[in-house]
This record gives sequence, C-alpha cells and structure tokens, in this order.
Amino acid sequence: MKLISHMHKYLGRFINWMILPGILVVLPVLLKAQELVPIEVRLPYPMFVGTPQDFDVPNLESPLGSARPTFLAPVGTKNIALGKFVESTDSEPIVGEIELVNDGDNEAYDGSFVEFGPGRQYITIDLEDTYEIYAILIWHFHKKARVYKDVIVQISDDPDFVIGVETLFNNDHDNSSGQGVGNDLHYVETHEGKLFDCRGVHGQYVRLYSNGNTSNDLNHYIEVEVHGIPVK
Amino acid sequence: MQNRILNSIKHTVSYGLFLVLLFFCMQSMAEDTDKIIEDFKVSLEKVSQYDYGESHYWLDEFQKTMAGVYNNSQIYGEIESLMIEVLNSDASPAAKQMICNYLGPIASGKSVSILKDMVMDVDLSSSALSVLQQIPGQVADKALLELLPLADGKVQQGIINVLAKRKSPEAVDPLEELIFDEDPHVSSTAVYALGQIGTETTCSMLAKAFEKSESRLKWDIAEAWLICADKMQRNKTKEAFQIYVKVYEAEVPASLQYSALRGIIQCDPTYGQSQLNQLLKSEGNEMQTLVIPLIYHLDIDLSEFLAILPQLDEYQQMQLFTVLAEKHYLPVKDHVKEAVAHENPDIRLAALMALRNIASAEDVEFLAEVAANTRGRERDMARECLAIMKGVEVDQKIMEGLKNEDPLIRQECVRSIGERNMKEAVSPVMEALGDTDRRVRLESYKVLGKLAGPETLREIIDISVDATNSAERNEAERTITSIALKIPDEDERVVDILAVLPNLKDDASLEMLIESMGNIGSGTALPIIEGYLNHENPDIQISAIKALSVWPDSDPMNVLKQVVESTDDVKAHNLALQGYIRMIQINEKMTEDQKFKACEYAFGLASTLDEKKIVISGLSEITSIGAFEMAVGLLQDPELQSEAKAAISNIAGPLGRIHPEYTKTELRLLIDKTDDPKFKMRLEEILKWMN
Repeated sequence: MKLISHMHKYLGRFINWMILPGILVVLPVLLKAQELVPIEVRLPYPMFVGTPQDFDVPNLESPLGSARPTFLAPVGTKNIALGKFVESTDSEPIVGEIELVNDGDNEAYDGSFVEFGPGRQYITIDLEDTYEIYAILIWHFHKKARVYKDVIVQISDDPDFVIGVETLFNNDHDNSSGQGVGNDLHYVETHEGKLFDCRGVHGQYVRLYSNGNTSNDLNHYIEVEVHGIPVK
Repeated sequence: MQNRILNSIKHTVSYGLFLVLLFFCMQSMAEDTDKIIEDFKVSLEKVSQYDYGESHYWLDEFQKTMAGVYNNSQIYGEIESLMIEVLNSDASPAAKQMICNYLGPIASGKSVSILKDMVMDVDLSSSALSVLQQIPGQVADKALLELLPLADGKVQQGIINVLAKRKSPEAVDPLEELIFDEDPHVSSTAVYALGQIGTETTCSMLAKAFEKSESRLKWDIAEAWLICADKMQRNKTKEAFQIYVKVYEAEVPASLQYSALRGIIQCDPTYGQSQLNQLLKSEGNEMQTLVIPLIYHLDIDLSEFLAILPQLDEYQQMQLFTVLAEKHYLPVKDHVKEAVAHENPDIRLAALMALRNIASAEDVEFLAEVAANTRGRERDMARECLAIMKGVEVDQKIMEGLKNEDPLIRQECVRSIGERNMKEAVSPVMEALGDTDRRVRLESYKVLGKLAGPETLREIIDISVDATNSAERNEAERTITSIALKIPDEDERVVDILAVLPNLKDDASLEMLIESMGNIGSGTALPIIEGYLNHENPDIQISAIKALSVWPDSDPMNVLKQVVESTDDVKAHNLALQGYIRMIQINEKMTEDQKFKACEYAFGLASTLDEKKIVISGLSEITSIGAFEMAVGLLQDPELQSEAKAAISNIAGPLGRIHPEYTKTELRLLIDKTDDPKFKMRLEEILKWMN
C-alpha cells in the first residue's frame, strides 16, 4: 500500500513537473494566436463635413462625434473580398459595373461606384473559401450624406442563404425583405464607411441587402471590404 | 358661252363669299380689340391702386392683358394714353413702376414729357429711364441730354447708361466733359458709355484721355478703348491693332493686357504669336497662365509652343498641352502620354482628357494599359478614349489587343469591343472564352451577352458547359439568357439548351442551364424543368426550384406549391416557399382575397420561423380584410409579433382606402390594446392620415 502511495505521490509530482513546463511552452503560442491588431483600413477622402440632421428617418443612429475607434482582429486578418466574384439581383447596373463593389477603391469620385436599380436589391460576394470573418466594411455612397434603407448583412456557407445564415445587421423595420424585422439603427453614410463586427463567424458568402436611400430609390456601392482569415 | 357665264357666276359668288368672310373677320377683330381695351381698363384701374405688399392678383391679370395689347399695334396709342394718365396721377410709386414695366414696347414721343419728370424722382428714375431707352427718335435723346447736367449721382449715371445704349451721337460731347468728373462713378460710367457708342470720334476722345489719365481712371478708359477697338476690328484692323498694342504696352491690370493681346492676335497673328512666345518664355510672369488659352485662336505653326512646353510649370504645361490637343496638334502626344503618369492626379486626368482629341490606333495598347491599371475617373476616361476613337484601324488594334500577354490589357480590349458595339468581333471574343485568365473569360461572357446573336447561342453553350468555376457559370448563365431572349419566337429560345442537355457530363453545367431556362421563361422548358424536380442529385432539384421561382409569370405556381407540400429537404422547402410567395405576388389573375387564401395556406406549410417571416412579408403586400385579420391574429405569437406589427402597418394604409370604416375601427381597437408606444404611434399616424 505504502509503495503504491509513494508511486502515486512521485507520479503526481512527475506529471506536475511535465505539465507546468509544457504549459509554459504552449502558452505563448496560444497567446500569440489570440494576439489582436488593428485591421488595415485606408479611409477615403471625406466629401462632406459633419452629419446633417434633417433626415426624416426613424431610428437614426446618433453621430459618434469623433473618428471610429480602431477595430482589432487577430493577426493575419485582411480584406478577403478584394476582386472576388460578386453577384447582384440587378445584373445590369444603371451606372458603373459590379466589379466596382470590391475593386479596392473606396473614394467617392465619379467612376468609383456602381448604381443598381430601384427597390430591394442584394449583392452576394463569393469569398471562394470558408473564412473566419471579423469585420465587414461597407461604403454605399459618401459623396453626400444619406441613409440607406433596409440594410441587412448576412454571412453563410450556403450560396442560397437558407441554411446556417448568420444575420449580423438588420434595420429593415417593416420586414419588406422577408428576412424578419430588424431592430438595428439606420445610419448616415460617411467616408468612414459602416463597420459591422462579425465576431469571427465562419462563412464563404456575404450577402448585403438595401432598399433605396433617402435621396432616391436606387442602391449604390462604392466599396465592400470583408476582413477575415482562412479557417484552419 | 354657257361655260363662260357659269364661270363668271362662280367667280362672282366666290368673291362675294370672300368679302363676307373678310367682313365677319374684321368685325370679329374689332370686337376682340374692344374687349382687350375694356379688359385693359379694368386691370389698369386695379393696378393703379397697387402698392408694395399687396396681392399680386391684378398684376398677373395686367400682364395677361398686356399680352393681348402687344399683338394689336393699332391700339398702342390709346393704351399709351391711358397709361400716361396713371403716370400723371397720384398713384403709388409701386403702381407707376409696374406700368413702366409694360409701357416700353408701345411708348412713343408723347410719353417723354411725363417720363422726363419721373427721371428726377429717385424712386421712379430707373423705371422711367428703361422706358425712355426704348422710345424711338430724337425726342427721347433730347430729353435725356437736357436732364444730364441737372442730375447727379446715380440718376446721372442712369442717364449716361441710357444714352450709351441709344448710341446717341449728340451725347458724345457732353459725355466727354464728364470723363474727368469729380465723382469717379460718373466719370467711369461716361468713359464706358463712350466705349459703347464706339465711333471714331469717341475713340479719339478716349485716346486723348488715356494719355492724360492715371491709375484707376486710366484702366477704365483702357477698357472702354478696347471695346471701341473690338468694334473697329473688322473694318479698321490697323487702327484697332494700334489701340490693342497701346493698351498691351501700358501699365494696366493683367485682365486688360490679356484682352489687348487677344485683340493683337486677331489683328496680326504673327505679331501676336511673337508676343505670346515672349510672355511664355519670361519667368514668373502672372500673365502666363492667363494667356495660354489664347493659343486656341491661333491658326499658325504651333511648334514653337511645343518647344516652350518643358520650360513651364506643371499646371501651365497642363494648360498648354490641353490647348494644343484641342487643336489636334499631334506632336504634343508624347508630352501628353508622359503626363498620364504624372504624380499629380489633376494632371493625369487632364492628360487623359487631352488624349481624347489626339489618340489614334497606335495608342490603343497604351490606353488599355492605363484603363487596366488605374481607378475612378482616370479609368473611366481611358475607357472613354478607347470607346470613342474612330476608325477601322482602331478596331483592328483592339482586336489585336486580345492577344496581348497582359491579361488585364486583354480584358480591357474585350470591354472596348462591347463599348464600341463591334459586332464583327464576336468571333474573337468567343475565342477569348477559352482564355487562360478568368477575368478575360468573365468579361468575354459579358460582352457576348450584349453583342452576340442567336446564331452563336449553341456554340456559346457548348463552351460554357466546360466552365470550371461558379463565377464563370453565373456569368455564362446571364449571357445565355440574354442571347436566348433575342430570339423572337418564345418556343425557339430554349431549343439550343434542350439540345445539349442529354449530353452533359457534369451536374454543375446542368444546374447552370436549368437556371438559365428559368430566366428565359419559355413555356417549352417548363415541363422539362419540372422533370428535374425528381432528379437523383439534390443540387439539380434545387436548381429546378430556383428556375421555377424566377419564372417571369406565375405559371409554375402550383408546381412550387406541390414541392412545398411534399419535400422533406429543408433547403428545397424554403426556396420553393419563397418562389411560391413570389408567384402569389406576381399573379395577375388572382383577386386580393384569393391571394390572401394562398398566403394563409403557405403560412400553414411554413415549417421554420424564417419561413413564417417570409410568408408574413408576402402577406403584408395583400390588401384584404383577411390578410389584415391574419396579421392581427399573429400578434399573439411572441416570436412573430414584430413581423405582425409591420404587416398590420403595411396593410392598413391601402386597406383604409377600400374599407375606411372597418380599418378605422380596427386601428382604434389596436391602439387601445397595444403597450408598444412605437406601434401605437405608427397606427395613430395611419388613422390621422385616413381622417
């Protein structure tokens, strides 16, 4: 019995000695994996100053009054939407081409945006692989201050957005898009774009809805960035 | 003989009828004229009582009456007299101003007397002067010249301006006396008036004054003198040239020097060019930027300016190459192309704009490269150049560009073929569908959708079934749809697709063609797509559902309903339900009540919360009491409460137009019951709108 008890004691100590250094070796690696750094976002030239307050839009987000805080994401996170295939419900845009959605140009000058037809429209970006997505940045149109209606942001691995759909943002207050009523606030477009925190959701496809804006019934995109890392 | 008698009777009757008609016309015109005068009297009476701040109703009526007066010159005299009466009365200045606004076109010498009195009244001066300016003959000139020494300040300036407009020769001497008037405004106006009159006499008066004067007055005289010179330029070029040179060499502001140099160039281009060259060569001259656009007016050798170009600063270079390019001066092209790569974006853009005027076939590759490697307006401008350049050689170079080793250039060339609508390039673009670069292949599909005719459809389908990725298949699907829709006979549109279906090797291509058939919507394809609903591969089944869901009309409605009823597959169920709801919405044969029944049935088939939300979204588009009541009923479901509230708000407005009493009662009940302040407010708004 004594022998067994001794063996137990020494085995316990041995295990402790082995585990502790092991943890010490692995911990920095684990910590490194979780290291967060600011995502790289190059802001475009602002086309107007301040936030006009005369929008007749319910549930409008108050302006932050300062620059958006830096958004942190794991090391290696980058824009994975650049140049990827984009599909739209309006295959023949009124102005520009669908490639402008993710051509890396977020300036609001003429020639930088695509204009889709009136009413509800959505675009789907195929990231061509499943990614761990941390942030989506959208610049609909920031040449003038305006609010886009019924904005919905979804991520899924299903190209038809039926199974495993993660809705990250929804301000469609009347369910006109059939995606359910969303309680998120409307927001004014600025040169900072709108950043949606995706919390590392996995998915290959990103779908973005809109339904006209406060200036007209049309839908615009200057640039969409999806920041993520490949799923290991 | 008998014919002659008959003819003479005919002529007599015709003549008689003509006279009778003429009589009636004249009588009718006389009646019209009387009515105009009567209407005029009524409105004049009202206008004569007008004062500032009062209703404009009679002013508008007066304006309408005057439109009738202007068309009847025989009543001008009577109308003028009636207006003079009011101007002589104690009517308010506002009324008199209003009358003066309409008196001008009909005024004659008999108005001069009262207008002369009015000129000296500061409140009425400008109105009276505007009428005097329009009165023909010397009476008005005489009155104005009598008033000139009596008036001062702004009234005097007004008189001078009217004399200038009337170009009165008698005014020249009195105006000369005012050149050195104590009041600088009066002297400046007098100088300008002499310039406007622009005779030889005024010109020599200004020449003398120019020598004597200094600073500000000298500049005013120079400006007036230049006006004289501009007028003399055609007939007395030599004299005009001398004036321009004198002003150009004098110490005057740059804007006047610019005008003088422009005149010099117009009179003597060679001398003008030498002056321009000297200016551009001199360093730090503020005139340089101002005068570069003058080159546009020169029809001489431009090579000297090209030699100067590198010596100028970057903005002046931009100005100069823009002007030279606008004159289609081709040797400047190398400079322009160099500027396309300038670090300053404004200069890059200006260079691309300039290239639009001078680019030719040899620049196709350069422009395609720029379009491929720039963004925004620069890319647009480069693409525009490629699209608007004329000539078969340009088309040829663009087609050659399809073989360029840079895929981005190949892509731009394909795009240009589309923009230039080069139907003869369909074959090379079809070859580009087999390009090694995906971007080129995608662009080629797009362009073929626009350019290719139905005769190419089969070949494009054969190529597209070998597409290796979903992006290409998506683009190919659109292209096939676009081309098929160009076939006039609806049943013929899917013939080529149906022909390849039995030989397809992979299911991805089959999915693509099924979905394409859905967008084409040809009745021939409907039973075939329905057949794929039972395919062994679930992905093919999904494609068939998607094809039926996008069908242009509601023909597949029942098939989709059957899928929803029968399938166990979650995705198939959801997509078929979405398609079924769409069919309900686009069905033109169903009444709103029938649509509601169909929607209610669909709600019963919805198996998940997401599906129920989709159905409620469709329900909210239906204007029926049933739909409204169903939405109210759904308020009891905590998971669907928000969607139910949205549906109620959506339905209530249109329903209120058809069943106002019912809707009002129901809305009041809901307002009483609800605890949600936002919902309550929304319903109250609808109720308020209905009341």
